[in-house]
This record gives sequence, structure tokens and C-alpha cells, in this order.
Amino acid sequence: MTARRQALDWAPAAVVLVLTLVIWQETIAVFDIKRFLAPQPTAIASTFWDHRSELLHAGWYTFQEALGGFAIGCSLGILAALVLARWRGVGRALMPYAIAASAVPIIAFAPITNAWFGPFGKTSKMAIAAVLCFFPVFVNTLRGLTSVRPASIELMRSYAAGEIDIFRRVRIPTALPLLFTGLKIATVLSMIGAIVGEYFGGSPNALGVLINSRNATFDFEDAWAGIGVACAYGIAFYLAIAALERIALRGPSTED
Amino acid sequence: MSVVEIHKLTKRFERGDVLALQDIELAIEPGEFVSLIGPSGCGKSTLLRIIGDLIQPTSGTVTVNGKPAPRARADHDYGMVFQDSVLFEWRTVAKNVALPLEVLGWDRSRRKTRVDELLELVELGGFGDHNPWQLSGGMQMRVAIARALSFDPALLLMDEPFGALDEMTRERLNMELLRIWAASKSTVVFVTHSIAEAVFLSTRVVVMSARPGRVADVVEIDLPASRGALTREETRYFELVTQVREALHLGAELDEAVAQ
Amino acid sequence: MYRKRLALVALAAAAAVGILGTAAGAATKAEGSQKLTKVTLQLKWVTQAQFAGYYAAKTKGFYASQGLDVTIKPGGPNIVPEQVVAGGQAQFGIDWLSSLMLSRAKGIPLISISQVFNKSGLTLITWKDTGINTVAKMKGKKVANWLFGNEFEVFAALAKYGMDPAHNKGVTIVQEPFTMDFFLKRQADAASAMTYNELAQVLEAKNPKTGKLYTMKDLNVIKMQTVGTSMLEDNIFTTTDYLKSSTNRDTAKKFIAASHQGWIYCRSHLKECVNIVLANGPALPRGHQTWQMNEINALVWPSPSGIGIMNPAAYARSAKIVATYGKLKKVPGHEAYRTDLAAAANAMLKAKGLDVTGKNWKKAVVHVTPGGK
Repeated sequence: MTARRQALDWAPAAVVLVLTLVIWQETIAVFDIKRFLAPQPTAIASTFWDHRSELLHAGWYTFQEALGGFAIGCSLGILAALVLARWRGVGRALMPYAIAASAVPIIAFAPITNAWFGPFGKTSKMAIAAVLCFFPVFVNTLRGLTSVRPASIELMRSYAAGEIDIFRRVRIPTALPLLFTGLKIATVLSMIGAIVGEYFGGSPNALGVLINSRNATFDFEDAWAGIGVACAYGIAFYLAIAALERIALRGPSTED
Repeated sequence: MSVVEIHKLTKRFERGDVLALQDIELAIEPGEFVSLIGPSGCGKSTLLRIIGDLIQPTSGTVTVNGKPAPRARADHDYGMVFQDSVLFEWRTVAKNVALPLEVLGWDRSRRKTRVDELLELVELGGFGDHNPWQLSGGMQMRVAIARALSFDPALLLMDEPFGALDEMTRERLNMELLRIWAASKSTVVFVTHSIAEAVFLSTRVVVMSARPGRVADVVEIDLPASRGALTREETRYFELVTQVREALHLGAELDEAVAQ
Repeated sequence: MYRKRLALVALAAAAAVGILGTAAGAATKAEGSQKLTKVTLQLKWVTQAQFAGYYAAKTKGFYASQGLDVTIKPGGPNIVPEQVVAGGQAQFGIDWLSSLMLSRAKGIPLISISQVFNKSGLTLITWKDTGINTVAKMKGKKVANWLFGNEFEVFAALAKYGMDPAHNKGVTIVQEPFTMDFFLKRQADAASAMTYNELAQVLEAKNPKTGKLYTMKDLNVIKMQTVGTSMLEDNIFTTTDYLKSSTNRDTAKKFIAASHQGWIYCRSHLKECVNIVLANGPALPRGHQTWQMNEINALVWPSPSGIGIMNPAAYARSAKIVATYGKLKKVPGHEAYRTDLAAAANAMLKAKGLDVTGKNWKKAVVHVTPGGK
């Protein structure tokens, strides 16, 4: 794709963004909306610039929690999917509970993980992020591992390939696109988990504490800038995994 | 010694209590090209899979190179080609061909030599680094055939490999297959529902009838070994096509008689 | 974006409910013999004895006799009373003076009209066996505070001994959760504790080693009052806009008078006020509320210049600390409060023969109970 084509592809989205910001800015000015409901984008931007070091550091702190939770949750999700794909009986016994568990609003566990792992460290936030990440990765990976075409299995069996060979050469590669779908969902969830965890107590230089605290001390522009930083980290994380996906996966892109 | 010996083979599927195959007797000699033809539901694909030890028979025996089928599969005596080429999109063409060799534990350099040889054989030299989805359906099937031949199996089992292709491609691939068969000196069991294809390719055509699947007739194809585009215009070819067709119809009438 | 939309929907719904509520209220009012003025009070925190005076004023009919129909809204972790009052969802709010100063600095036009608590209830507590018995010894330690604008007294205390808590230098600040489990598990070296709440929560817990409740002998309790960095806490505030109308000023005066009367009542009716609070469904049980009521009385009484009248020196100290740790451009001046309404309210009460100073008040002896039961 040429740079020109690429620019054209992004143009509509850019227009929407600019329009949204302009309307936001003007609506607040025209209707004199109170600052604590929504500050103007320009005010948020200048606050971000003034406090960028503090905000980005807080974002980095929270991102570390998200990343840790992501690593733990995704690893466990993949591991569980591998076990359940290999021993279907176990899967049939556990699947209803896995689905039921995924329906529990995990965020409600935040105060409990704080009690288990201590409210001040990164561990309790990682725990929430990990639980949030677990289910999409687990469900998608399992679906990928079990959605292999029967002909592929017959082919491998005709070579007298063992279960391990079939796993390595067929199930896992087939599952990879779905695994990445799960991982991409997990990137966003891990940031949410970390920030919500911080709402229930944490280090003052964590983003969730900062957003919540600045809101309480009437630094609304700071709170909004913090939300912006959270978004930026979330999107960057998502794009990083998407890039990894592009490297890892051969095959016709399903997006184009 | 026969490559394949089938004796009193019966297959009943538990689900729906379907008698798929009944009392099949068949022997296939080295170097033969045997087609299994019949109406859908006659169990020809099931028979192929039983020979390949992908399905277990209810009763009777299958011997391949004098060994029971499971043993033969463990010894890598089978090369299989399905209607769908079953190429893995995450592997290049060359890596797809090399897949069985990886499973068999061949080292890298040996694999590469063999894959190059095979791609030349199926006239896909230079396509090794392509991705499967960049190839046409016919080319994909040639990759699948190369893959099946890669470890030199004694027996090539092909399940309607050209069924999804257009007529032109199919005829061209028929010729290719004959050339490859001659070059590889393997024994082929070929499932098809095309009479023309069966007659053109085979040394023998096994005509099957449906419900339950049985061998209705075996037609010896006495066309000369070297066949070409002109073979399809020979009188003998037409006679044999007619003979297979009649055998098929007879089988169908037999079905109806049984049904009544 | 979704959250924003949700917030808008919630606002719209709240507005709709408000209109309906007002309409319904107006209907009942018309039926009543006396026409009551409806006002809403937003509390800083959940229902507890900290707000006993307001609940007593409502239950004992002090508000009604001033012609007021008061709705008391409990607070919570994500409720900022200043925002609620500035947003028009309540006419009056209760919060620490520091929060009011911050909100004013950020352009929210609020004003304190009664400084109910004249002392700080904030302490730093440590376990006696840690040997951390002064603020100075907290250097390099982990100190917990709720933040959200509640940290200034503690930050000032730590700074007084050379630490830089705002930048986590010389001391590690962690955000304190809403229960004291972390302290019992010793996950922090020092914890912020209100005399009337968190301190009691610790004392209501059993020492697993002895199987008995912890006692004051197990703890070092360092009061911000003693350290010299105490600030003024609970005050009644409203918006400057609200006070522009003389009718509203009159309403405010009556509201203050009835509220003060509630506090005067609780000064001498500890048990009854605890019952009133319990009837309003607090999170923590009777034993805890009884302790709290007694400690809260100690923050209100005695009140030498009369309840609610701002002490300029205490105000100035608070303002200086807020300016430093709230990163304000200038120290809040005296325009952040007015004493005329509270003084007028106290005059009304004195005319009724009530003692607005409580100079003879003596703190009761209240024993903690296991789990605050």
C-alpha cells in the first residue's frame, strides 16, 4: 500500500476525531458546562503537557501491573486451553463452570484481591488483570485448538503422527489467529483491571489512584489527561500485540 | 504378494445403524492403479479410510504388504490425498510438502533435497516459497500429491482428489497423475465418481453398489500403459466407459431390488 | 466515551427524578399545615456518628421547627460533596475545610458557613513494637493515607521532619484502603487513622497471639493536633450563588441553627444519638458508633467561641498547609468562609437558652467492643 493510500484510509477517522474535539470544545464554551463535568480538550491537552512526566510515569507504573497481569492471565489461559483440548473429558466437566465464572463481574473481586495480596503492591492489581485476561484467552484458544478441520487430523494420522506432533504442527498453528484475538482483547482488559484495582487502593504514583484522587481534589483536567494516558497505553499495548500477530501469522489477512 | 488384501470386510456405523460395507473381497497388486467408483453412499471413501487405517472395520481383515493396516500406517506405508488439498496456510508450499518428512524426523538438508525433487516432479519448481493461497486449485492439489509422495509410500490413497476442480484442470491433472504414477512406481487406490476419470487412469475399476456397500463388478482396463489426450478418443476407451456405466446401473438396479 | 454517555444518561435520569421528586414533595407540602422549605445535605462519608448532629436535628424535629424539610444524602468513596453541591444536587455539604479550599482554588465558588469541628481528629498510628513513636522515625517507612485531598495534614507532618511525601522521597506513601486489614497485617508501617473511626477499628480487632482485643498499649497514636500540622475538618458549606438571595441566606441560617442544635443535643444525649444513627443504617455496628459519637463530641466540644464560628488562626494554618500540598498558586484568604450566619444561628439558640460553647462538657468513657458490635 502506498503512503498516499494509507493516508486516505485514515482520513475519515481523523476527520471524526477532529470534529469530535471541536464540538466538545465549543459545546462546553457555548453552554458554559461546569468544569467537573467535562473540561475543554485544549485545557486537558495543556494540563497533559504541563504534567506529562508525572502522568506518563503513573501510566508506566500501571502499565507494568497490566503487563504482569496480562502475562500471568494469558499464560494460564493458554495452559488451561491446552489441557482441556488434550483431555476433552476434563473440558466437558469444567466448561460450564468456566463459562459461569466468566460471567462473574471480576472487578467486584478488586477489594478481595487487595485483601489477599496487600493493597499497596502491584500484585493485587496484577491478580485482577490476570483474571480478566484469562477468560478471553482461554475461550478463544480452546476454540482454536478444537476447531481444527478433521481432514487435517486425518492427514497427520496417515503419517502416524502422535498427539504431540498433531498439537505442535496442526492444533497450535490453527489456534494462533484465535489466540491472538483473545490476546488483543486481553490487552485492553489488563489496563482496565489494573486501573480499577487501583481505585481500591494503591501507590499514589499509579494512574488509577491519580485519576481518582485528582478528581476528588478538583484537578479535573489532570483526571481527564490521566484517562487519556490510560487510553494511550491501552491502544499502544493493543497495537503492539497486533504487530506481533502480523509477524507471527502467515496467511491471507482476514481484515482486508 | 499383494499390496492390499481385503477379506470379508464389513463396516457397520453404530450411529444410525448403517451397514456401510458388506463382505468386501479385494486384492490389489504392486504397481496397480485401482479406482473405486460408485454412487454416493456406497462406502467407497469409507473403504479407502479402512485401508488407510483411519477407520476400523467391524469385521474382516485388511492386510497391506502382508501386515495388518495399523502396522502399515505406523510403518508409513500410506500417502494420502483428500478432496480438499488440506494445505496449511501457515506454511509455505515447500514446507507443506516437507510436513510428513518433519514428522518422520528427516534432517533439514535431506528434506530440502527431497522437496526440490518433488516440486520438480509436480512441475511446481520455483513455487516453493509461495504461500498456498497464492496458488490455483489445481496447483494446490499438485502440492498435496507431492506431499503424499514425499516419503515414498508403498501405497497412494486418493479420495476424490480432483472432485472440486473444473473439467479442464481435472483432465490435465489426470495426465499429470499418470506421469507421476509411472515415475514413482507406486500403487494407487483412487476414489472417484467420474467414470471417464476412472477408466482413463486405472488398470482396474472396482464398481460398487450402495446400501450396503458391496463390490458390484470389477472392470479390467486394458488400454495401453502409455495414455495421452488421444486415449479419450479411442473406441476401446468408449467401450470401457460404457462397460463401467452399465456395471454401475446394474448395481443401482440391484440396490432397488434389495430395497423392495 | 461510553462512560461519558453513561454519565450523561445518569445525569438526565437524576434530573428527571429530581423534577418528579420536587413535584411530589410540593404536593405533600401543600397538604401539610406548615409549608416546609426543602433542602438537601450531602455528607462526606457513609452514615455514621460523625454526622450524628444532622441526623439528630432531623429526627428530633429541629429542622422541621425551623421550617425545613432536610434530605440527608450519605457519601461514599466516589462522592465528592463539593461537586454535588456545585452541581446543584444538594444545597449544603459537609467536608473537610481543605477540600473546600481546593475546590475554590479550582474555580468552584463554594463558601464555608459553619466550621462545626474545631479540632482535627486525624492521627498517625503505628504498632508500639516497631519503635516508630514519632513522625521523625517514619523516615524511609511506608505510610498510608487515603489521599483524595485527605493527605495534607500527614504530608505536612512528614515534611516537618525533612521528608518529601509529595514526591515519595524519604518516605513511601501508599493509598490507604477503606478498612484497616492492611494495618492489622502490617502491610504498612504507619496508617492514617481518625480518632473516631479507624483507631477504633484497630482496637475492635483481636490480637491473634493473645486472643484478646488490641489495646492502646499496643499502639503509638500520634495526633496531628500535637504535631502542629492539624487542619480544620468537617464544616458546612454551600455555594456563593446560593447565598445571593436573602431568602436562601435565611434558609441557611435556619439550617445552621437546627444543625447546631442537633450537635448540642448529641453532646448530652450520647446513647440516644447513637440510636438515631443506627436507625439510619450505618455500615458499622453499635459499639463502634458509641465510640465514634464520644470522639466526635470531643472534636466539636468545647467550642469556646460558639459552635461553628471559625477560628482565624486555625483557618490560617489550614490554608497554608493546603496551599503547599495542594499546589495552590496563593494561600486561600478569609473570603472562603463567613461567620455571620453561624453567629446569627447561635444567637437564635442562645435565645432559646441553649449553651452553644459546651465549656462544661466532659468526654465520656467508652470501651471498645469486639468487632464494634
